Parts: sequence; structure tokens; C-alpha cells
Amino acid sequence: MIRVTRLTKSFLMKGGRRRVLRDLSFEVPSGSNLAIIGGEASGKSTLVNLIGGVDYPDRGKIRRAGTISWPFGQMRYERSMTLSQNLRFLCRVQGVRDFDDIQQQVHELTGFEREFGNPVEMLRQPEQRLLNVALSLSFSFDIMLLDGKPSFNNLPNKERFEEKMAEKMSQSSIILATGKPKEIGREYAYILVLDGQSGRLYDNRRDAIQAFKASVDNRPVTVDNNQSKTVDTPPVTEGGNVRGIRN
Amino acid sequence: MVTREQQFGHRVRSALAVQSGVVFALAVREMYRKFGAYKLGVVWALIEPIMMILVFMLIFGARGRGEFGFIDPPLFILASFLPFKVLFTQSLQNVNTSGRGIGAFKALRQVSLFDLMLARILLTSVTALLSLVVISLGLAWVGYDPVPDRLIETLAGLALIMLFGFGLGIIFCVLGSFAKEMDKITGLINLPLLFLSAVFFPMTIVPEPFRTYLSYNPLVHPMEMIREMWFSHYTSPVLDLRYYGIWLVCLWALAMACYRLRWRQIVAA
Repeated sequence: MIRVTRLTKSFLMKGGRRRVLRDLSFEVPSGSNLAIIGGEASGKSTLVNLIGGVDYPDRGKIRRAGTISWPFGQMRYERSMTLSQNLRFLCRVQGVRDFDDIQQQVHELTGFEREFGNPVEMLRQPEQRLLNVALSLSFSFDIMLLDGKPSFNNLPNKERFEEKMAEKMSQSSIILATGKPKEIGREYAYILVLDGQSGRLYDNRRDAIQAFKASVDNRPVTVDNNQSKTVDTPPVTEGGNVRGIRN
Repeated sequence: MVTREQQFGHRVRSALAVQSGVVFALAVREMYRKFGAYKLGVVWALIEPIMMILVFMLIFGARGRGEFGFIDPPLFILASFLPFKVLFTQSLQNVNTSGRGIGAFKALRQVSLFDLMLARILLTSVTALLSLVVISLGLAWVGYDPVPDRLIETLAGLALIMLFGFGLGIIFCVLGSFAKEMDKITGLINLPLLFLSAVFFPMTIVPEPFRTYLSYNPLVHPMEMIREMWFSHYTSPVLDLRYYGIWLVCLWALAMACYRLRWRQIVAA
């Protein structure tokens, strides 16, 4: 279950304060998948970060039940520590007792062997990308956050990753943020369309995509600039409140 | 009634379980981050403060000046420099720089800025205590009596001065998020504080009226408290725990208020 109530989020930028979400409210029941669709700079990633608790709203509440992942593939490491030490840290933070199991899963996906004992800084760029994806697939959460549909095309053992991904998708509910309607399959029961100001929740795919297309067409590029100048938002000092559990 | 488990699912831990797990994980990680690259590894966490205290003992203690009264110079150095240089200065520094360290945990919703500060304080305090034990064992071997006369009160004094560094560190961390120049100021105040806080002299050798002036410095009081509790034949002329307590409460109120107003910006930066 995810319940978002009157969520407002703005960013302080050079030209002034830019509001990405205003008074957004919606609720998605437990066990169903949610797709968030919107044009560029409509706040998709921001909303994913807010739901995931890695960013904080100016106002409004987000309530969720169950454990929630970090945004898919986005993990940072302590580069001077070995991969095993990094994994163990992550397990402790996530409350996963079975460290060996996680390491085994990462090993199966990436084929890493000696890399576990080496500092993370010794990993090359593609290996680190591989590790990011594998790590997201090795932990289990009730809700899984995807900021953009992950693509496994460039990875070795593409099939194994896709298999694992399908398994995760069957176990947890998914929140996917995307700008492409064709990435939203039948498995998404709810679709939230963001138009750069606020959003609307649809439970019908065709209506949602129509609304998305309309919002993209109707949004001239200049709207953003005007708004950041005319809307005089006082700096928000009161604390936004992310209710729910620090899990 | 809906139980917690029905409401959130079985995998959700309590807030306390999450926080204690996070603080422990962070403390271990900080240790590896700092000392992982060395040949001796995390043993350096202990060697570093011990070496520092030993050097101070050689510099100040070996001269055998008389002003410590009948306190043995090495013991005096241990009772002064360990609280000040390790518990106060290092707590202050480690908390102050937490704002820069928090960026590494952007993807982890469980890790808050305060958790990182707490973990660093935990690490500093544990290493300080362990090095205290090691140095004491060494001194006992050489023939001194390093056990504080009133052990519990001495430990309380150590905790009191650590809390001051912790609170001040939070305030500096918040101020540093407004202007990076704050780092220069924290670097600058360390040396004068060392002279003004009765670190390498007891307050008994300071003449009036400077004794009164110096005793306005809150840090003098825990230093004198530790001395008085450690050496039962030393009585401080200025010790006023009430005065220090008021300072500590006000400092922490300010620190918590600053933190609450500003932590989002520090984390986002």
C-alpha cells in the first residue's frame, strides 16, 4: 500500500524556486504495480526518490507498508573497502542476516570471484554497472523502485538477469517511472500521469496514455520559465513529513 | 486491533532495530574507511591516540616540572590530554565533517545524518576508552598507579567533555553548510582552546584574577572534574558543575534546533 497525501516538492535553482510536484495525492493498494509516466522534467524521478525515502518532500505525507528498495541500480560504495565489506555493510543497514546468501546471489549474477576480496576501486566501469544491477536484484523488498526500465542488453548473462528480474517482479510490487508508454505492460494495474504540476491516477491503460500524450502536447516549453518567475513561493521551512517506517 | 506485523508486513523492523543496525554498520565502515589501507589495519585506530599521548608524555612529562603538585607527570598528561585531544577535539572534528561524509549514503534511506554522527562518536569514544586501558596497563607495568581514585565519576567526566564536543560539532556542521569558511575557524579555535581550557596546567597554579576569567570557559570544568575525581588529593578551586551543566543544556538545545532546521539541506548538498 502506498498512500500519498498532498505532496509538494520544489527545488531551489539559479532562476528561483522550481516546483515539480504540487498537492499530489493518490493511493495504490497493496500488491499492485504502479507505473509513473510523464514528460521530461515532470518529476518522475523526484517522485520515485520521495517514495523511496531518499529525498524529502516540502509538504505532504507518504505512507507505505512493507519494505522498500533503493532506486534500482543506484548504489554507492566505499571505494577503499573491499566488495565483501561493502556488501556486509549493506546487509547490516538493510537488516539482512544472511550475508553469505547475498554474496552467493551476487556471485551467481556477476560471476565475481576474487573481486569480493579486492577494494571496489579496482572494479572497472562495466563491472561496477554489473554490480549495481546485481545488487538490486539480490535483495528482496515488498516494494521495488525502478527509475526507468532496466535494460540488461549490455550485460553478460543477459538471460540470467532477465530471469531474476521476472522472479523479483512476481514477488514484490513494482513502482516504475518512465517516459515511454510502451514500457508499461499489462502488469501495471495503476498508472500515474504527471504533467509537470501535479498528477492523476488511472486504472485504465488506454486513458492514461491518452492523458499522457495530451499533457506532453499541451505543455509548451516556455511554461516552466514563466512559472518559476511569477509563482512567488516563500521558502518552505516547515518539515515535510515522511511517515511510515524507517526500514 | 491491527498488529504491527499485519500493518507493515513481517519484514519491517522496529525503528530502534533499524537505527542500532545502521549505527553499528556505520561505525565498522568508518573504521575500515580510515584505516583499511594501512598494513596494520584497524589496529591504527588504537595506535594513533596512544602514540599521541606518549609523545605528549615525553614532551611535557619528562621535564618533571613541579607545578602538578604531587601528581606524577605521566598520569597528569593522561588525565588531561586524553579527554581534551581525543574525546573533545576529535569528537568535534568527526561530527563537524559528517556533512561531507553523508553523500555516500544517498541511496540508503535508513542512514540519517545523525546516525553518521552517532557512529563517529561511538568509534571515537570506544577507541579513547581502549587506548586509556592500554596506556594504563603500560603505566602500571612501569610502576605507576593509573587507576582513577573515583572511577565512575572520572568516566562521567570523560562523557561530559565528549558531549560538549559532540554538540559543538553539530553546530559547526550546520554553520559549515552555510559557508565553507567555517572549516578554517574550527581549525583556528583548537589551539587557543588548548591553552584556555586548563589542559596542561591545573587551575591551582593560575593566579587570580585570571583564575576567575578562565573559569568562564566551560571546558575548564570537566577538565577539572576529571582531575579531581581521578586524584583524590587534588581539589579544584573553580569546579562548578552547575555552570557547566547549564552550558551543556543550552549548547545541545541550540545544536538540536540547528540540526532540525538544516539537516535536509546538508544531506541534499
